Amino acid sequence: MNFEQNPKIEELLNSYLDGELSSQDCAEVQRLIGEDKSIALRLRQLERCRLLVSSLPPAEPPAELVSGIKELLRNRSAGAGGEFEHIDRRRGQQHLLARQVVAAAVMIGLFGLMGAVVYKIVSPEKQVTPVVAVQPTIKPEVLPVETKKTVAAAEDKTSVGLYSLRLETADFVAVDAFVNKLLDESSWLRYEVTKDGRSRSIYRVLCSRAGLETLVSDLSAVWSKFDSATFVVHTDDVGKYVAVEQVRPEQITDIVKQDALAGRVKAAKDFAVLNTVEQASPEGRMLALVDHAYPELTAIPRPVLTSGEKRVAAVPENPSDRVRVDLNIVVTGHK
Amino acid sequence: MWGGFGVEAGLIRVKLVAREQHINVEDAVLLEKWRRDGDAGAVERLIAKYQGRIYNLILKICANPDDAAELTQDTLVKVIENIDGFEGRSSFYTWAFRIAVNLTLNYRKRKATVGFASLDAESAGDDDQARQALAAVLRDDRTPDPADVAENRELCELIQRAIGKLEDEHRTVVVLRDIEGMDYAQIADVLGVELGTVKSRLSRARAALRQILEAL
Repeated sequence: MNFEQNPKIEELLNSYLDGELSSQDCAEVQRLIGEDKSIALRLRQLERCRLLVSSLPPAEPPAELVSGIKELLRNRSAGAGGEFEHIDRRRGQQHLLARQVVAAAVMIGLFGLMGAVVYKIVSPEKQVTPVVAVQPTIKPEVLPVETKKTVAAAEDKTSVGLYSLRLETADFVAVDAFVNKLLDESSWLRYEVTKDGRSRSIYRVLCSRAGLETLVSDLSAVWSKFDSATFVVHTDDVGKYVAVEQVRPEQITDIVKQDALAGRVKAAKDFAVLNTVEQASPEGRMLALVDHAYPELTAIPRPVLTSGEKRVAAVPENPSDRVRVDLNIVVTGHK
Repeated sequence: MWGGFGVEAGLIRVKLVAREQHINVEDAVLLEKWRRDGDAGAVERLIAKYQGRIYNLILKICANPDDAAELTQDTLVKVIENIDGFEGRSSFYTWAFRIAVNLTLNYRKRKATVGFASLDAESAGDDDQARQALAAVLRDDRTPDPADVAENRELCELIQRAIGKLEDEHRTVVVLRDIEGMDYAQIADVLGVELGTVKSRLSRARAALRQILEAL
């Protein structure tokens, strides 16, 4: 039997169950129950449902019911309040309480968030030990550090050229003192120094190209005291560099003034070859010979040599040109 | 002395009228005492007599004890205030129930509109034992013992929850018939509907309840 298609059957069963049928209808229902098991089953189901509901125990009304009614009667006689007003008031109080709790939670969350933001903004920075970045161009050994002017490591990113100048001298103390004084008095550069008090100092200098030119020019005053001077141009590839042995101050200037790294590398290579040839030829005769007899054979463009005059003028400061050269000067006492 | 005689005569008249109007005589006397003398004790006795049934009727419909208590107060106050307008076409008891049902259903409609429904936290407690007991009752061919059902608190809560899932008009007719034990004519009187409407509505309500119980 499909009860959904025959709702009257279920209605009939309910009425039968509730004793609301006439005797004739009762007989009809009993006949249906006897003939159709599904109808009998549905009747039992309905009976059980009805019994479950009717078995629910009654609840005890609250004790304050009477006093509440008296109060309501007094209020009504005084003309105060409308229907459901007192229920609405209680509901409103519950609603208000719930909203207050939610608002408080939101406020606490917001204060926490604001506190975190403020702390992030005004909290003291962590103590960071200044990092002395020294290019280990000579030996990767640890030396006692004596920092005079701190160079931020971050400034390396603005450098356009990384160089090393290795100087060997028999008069280490005097030369080192000269270099130290020179750097100290040069307000247009920044440097830091690493020394092992015996025979070597490593200066890391950050300056402009014009500053380097001035520095090298000033160094030329004691250039004769260097037993050897090697200028190293580092490339972008780690470990690859060009070393110009027996370099002269003007050669350094010429290398550094090249705008592109490729140009600096090429100039350094040229000078390296040139100096090697000069070293190999007794008193530089071979070079002079080549220059005069077969100038077209010298594929190496001749660098423009600057004069050996000492420059005493301060380097004009161009703020946009600051910290564009990163130079390690290594002064080593000749043993 | 004359005053006392007047009172007694008045009460006798009330009793006679009450009998004519199918009002419970005791109820009529208590109401007369309250109206005429302001006898608070009379009101208390009247309330004590009906508050339990009305409270349970409302509680089964609205499923919220606090609301039920306050709606019961409203119902009884309304009964007291409007007793003069009671015409006696039905029993006093049916009349009072009609007020209770109307107030409760109106309140539930209003509550749904205002949006207080979210504050009524439905009991979410799951009780596997109660579910198993319910399933056993629904499967078993034997008729369950009402006493056993009444003693099983968790099972009662489960049944109450199933009733609560019915639509308001279905829940009301089930409560009036199966809990209050009213016949179809009384239900029609309380709800102000035709007898055929009560039959069809009760049939749909029980079918829905059966499905809800089986789904639990």
